[in-house]
Amino acid sequence: MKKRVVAIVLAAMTAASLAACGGSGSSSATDQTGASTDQAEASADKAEASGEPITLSFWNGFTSGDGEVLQQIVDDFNASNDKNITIEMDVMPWDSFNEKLPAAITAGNAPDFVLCSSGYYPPYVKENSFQDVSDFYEMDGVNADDFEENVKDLLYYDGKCIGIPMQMVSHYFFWDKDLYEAAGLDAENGPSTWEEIVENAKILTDKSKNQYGFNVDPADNVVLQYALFAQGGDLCNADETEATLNTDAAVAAISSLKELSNYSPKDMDDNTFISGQMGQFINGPWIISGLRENDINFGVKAVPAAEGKDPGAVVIPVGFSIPVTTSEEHKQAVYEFVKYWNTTDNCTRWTKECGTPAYLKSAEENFKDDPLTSALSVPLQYGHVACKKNGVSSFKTDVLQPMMEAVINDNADIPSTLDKYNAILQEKLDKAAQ
Amino acid sequence: MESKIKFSKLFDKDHVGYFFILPSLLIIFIFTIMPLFEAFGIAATDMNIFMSKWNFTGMENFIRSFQDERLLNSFKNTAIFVLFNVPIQIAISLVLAFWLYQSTWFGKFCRSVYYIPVLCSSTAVGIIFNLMLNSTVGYIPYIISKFTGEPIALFAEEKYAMAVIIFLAIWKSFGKTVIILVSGINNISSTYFEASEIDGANKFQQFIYITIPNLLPTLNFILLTSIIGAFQVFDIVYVTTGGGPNFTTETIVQYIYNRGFSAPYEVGYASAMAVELFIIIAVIILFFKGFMERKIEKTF
Amino acid sequence: MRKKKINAYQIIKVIVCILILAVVVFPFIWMILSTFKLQKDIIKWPPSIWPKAWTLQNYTKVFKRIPLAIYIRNTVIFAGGVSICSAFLDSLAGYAFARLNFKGKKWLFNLIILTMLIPFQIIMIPLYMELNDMNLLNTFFGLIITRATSAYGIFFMCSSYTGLPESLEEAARIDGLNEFGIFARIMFPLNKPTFITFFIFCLTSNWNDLIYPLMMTNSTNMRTLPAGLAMFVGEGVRETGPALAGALISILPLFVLYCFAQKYFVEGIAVSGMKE
Repeated sequence: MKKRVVAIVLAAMTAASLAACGGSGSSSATDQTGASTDQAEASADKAEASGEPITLSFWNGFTSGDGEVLQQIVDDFNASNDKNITIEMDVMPWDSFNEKLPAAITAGNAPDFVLCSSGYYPPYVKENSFQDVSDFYEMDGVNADDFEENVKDLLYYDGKCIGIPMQMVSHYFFWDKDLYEAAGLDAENGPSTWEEIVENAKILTDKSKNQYGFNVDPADNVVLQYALFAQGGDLCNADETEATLNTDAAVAAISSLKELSNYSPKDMDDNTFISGQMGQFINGPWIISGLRENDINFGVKAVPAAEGKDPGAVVIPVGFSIPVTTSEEHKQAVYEFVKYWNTTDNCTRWTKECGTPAYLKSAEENFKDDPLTSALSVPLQYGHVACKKNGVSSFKTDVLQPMMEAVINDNADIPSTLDKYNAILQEKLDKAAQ
Repeated sequence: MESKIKFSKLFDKDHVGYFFILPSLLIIFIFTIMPLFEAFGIAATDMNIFMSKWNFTGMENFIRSFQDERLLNSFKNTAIFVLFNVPIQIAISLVLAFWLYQSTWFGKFCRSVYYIPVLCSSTAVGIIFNLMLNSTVGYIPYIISKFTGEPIALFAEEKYAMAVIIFLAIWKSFGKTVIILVSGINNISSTYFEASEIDGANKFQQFIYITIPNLLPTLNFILLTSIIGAFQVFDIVYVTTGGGPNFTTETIVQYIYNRGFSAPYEVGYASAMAVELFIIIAVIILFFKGFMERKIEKTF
Repeated sequence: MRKKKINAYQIIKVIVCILILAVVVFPFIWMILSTFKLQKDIIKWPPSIWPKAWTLQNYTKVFKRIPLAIYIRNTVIFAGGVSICSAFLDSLAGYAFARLNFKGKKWLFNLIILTMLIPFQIIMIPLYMELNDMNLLNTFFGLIITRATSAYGIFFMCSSYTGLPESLEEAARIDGLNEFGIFARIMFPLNKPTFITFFIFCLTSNWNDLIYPLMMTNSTNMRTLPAGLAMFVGEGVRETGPALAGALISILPLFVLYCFAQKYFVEGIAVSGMKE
């Protein structure tokens, strides 16, 4: 008797679980898109004729102060647009965003549009989760020539346009002018080569005052990349088929980071950078509002390269993207908002309030007299998206972080360590290319 | 007449239990066991987080996991966490509960304050301690620097990080254990204590011979749930070190999360590791459960 | 002689308790004081505990940024609903596992315990798909029903019902009460402190849960307090002052409730007048 009950329950469970597996396996995103697009197309004409109200759902990870400005611009659009469009914005931390959006797309209840950044794009692009939005640039009232060419291209993946620019940021070199002055360094201009950064870092470090000259964190791949760029190197070649972590440039870069790690605090988060204890560091423009709030007298410029090398930069485009589950009618309504966003006024407003560089030529004009903001636009002209196809984060915990930990904390031999991790990176690149 | 007898038989002591557990069982079956079985199924595929296209890969994920050094490392870290967190937390809580179970104002006050960290979300704990332990602005490193001349970055030093995580985990939840134990002690008939006092037993003897044996069902609960919770420790690591430095605080669930919820989102592999974790905890739990239940049967 | 010994013991006891109090309370004192500081006074070296200039700007920022009233309402509905349902259903099931005999009891109980062994992250997406198929996403019903019972609660209730005296139950049975009657009239009231204790536990953990309600709802109108708190912790930006103020605001209602419930919930049957 006992055995039979067990058997029945087990059988029921297996059946249930199989059914559930099958269910989610077969309900692929494309099936549902097909259905919803047809439906939407049928009703699209009707909606335009009668001016029916349209509500758009909009997800993004802009928590914090930027999110507040974004919400205000959305509110302004809701109040001012003549197409009866209302946008309901839903903000969540990026981690949650990336846990939720894939499931929502597969389940067919994804939002009408989202913001996504280059760091998060690769899996969605591979999965074909976003629609081609190149026709936005042909829309009435959109001046495609106003966008910086490089900026527009950054959101093309294999010839498919998966996003329209919403924000463009890079990383910059910051220095604390007061600490520079106290150390007798050139506070006005800052360093102009990577070598100078290393020298200054040594001078600026005073552990008895808990004061440091640079930021090197094994878990942070941004500084690693800039150290590589400074020597003319990179993680891999441009089409991401060949790992380049064991080149001479990489050895030079990692050696300089090893030295710089002596001038760096051991732990770092955003609070570290605005503490006033950091003589120099590399970080994004989002740190500027914090620096200002903490009354830090800082200078900022594009990260300089080593003597005789061209500077490189990572650009992180954030784009408006439209999941495949969104109907054509809603897509057109989304375009209305994207168009509104990419007007000179709003681009200027976003730049002014959030401290990110302007990427519309007409908006850049407005910052001609503002050297700080203009300086932020410099890397946008030559920067590229880091490991665009795969995303740097997919190599972070298996390659980059253990490599840096080995060199910095375990004092491993640099060339042989780089050889080892170059091989691992190569393996990952090969696997991803299949 | 006969059917009436049968009907009433449904409600007798030997059958009525099914009615008591039916709602719970249904809900657990639909909303936990079904997704759980689905997750077990996913473990045999190469599914990613989109769950749209996948291939059946059989045991591949499991074979891969046996060669995964990071998984081994995270098992080791988790074992350290469990071995320190569980006994220390239970010991501290047990002593405090024995001291504070009476309804004096001091007892009530301490119990209330000890419970405050439990009320705090892990996000908040993360904000507070990341800031308090930050070596460039934190108050604790500042105090340390008064003694050593230089602040110490507690979360970033391999030798301290796990100890700090264990401390934080205990800090965050011992208040709850105290409360459970206090209500357990208060459920012990006071006649036992009175009788032992007449016999001249001191506090320590009372604790060993009366409190502990009578608390066995409660202790059983606490032991098992603490072990289960400790094996699945995630939140406190996620909001502080994220597994660093040099993977010394990367626990199993942190690693599973890392594989399943960051690029390239290998949900299949993450599920396979979760299944392995499931089996390991199940073995340990069933062992302890059998052991404790035999003890309980002896006492009651 | 004996009296003196007890005094020394008492002193150690009080000192240890107070030391632990200090360790527990210090971060919160620091936190509360920090909510009244400007950011530049929170993040600076050397750090200080006392605010240099008192300000309420962190609180006004919280009120301005997030729809606090809606979030609190949602949190109360979600966490409260879950806790009430779970405390009742778990009492029923826990009682049955502790005091009643039926076939397959041990097996079913182990099955329930085993469901606790899988990390929530792993079943999160299958659960999302399931709720989606059932059209329960973005509803309070869906949020609550999935958690309307918990293995932890059943285990908790079971262990407390195990310890209750047998004699009362027997007496009631002789008096002719049926099994539901015994539970409802005798055992459940007897175990009220545990019920309230569990209610508070359940409320606390759901009140603070970020990912589950965030995952299963699709609009700001359905969000709970932890999602609001997350608005101040961005990637790259951290608004420490408002985040701490938000955390404090989110703890306060729970703490007040806890203090009220304390009267009932820690005290066992010995105090509630059912001495054996």
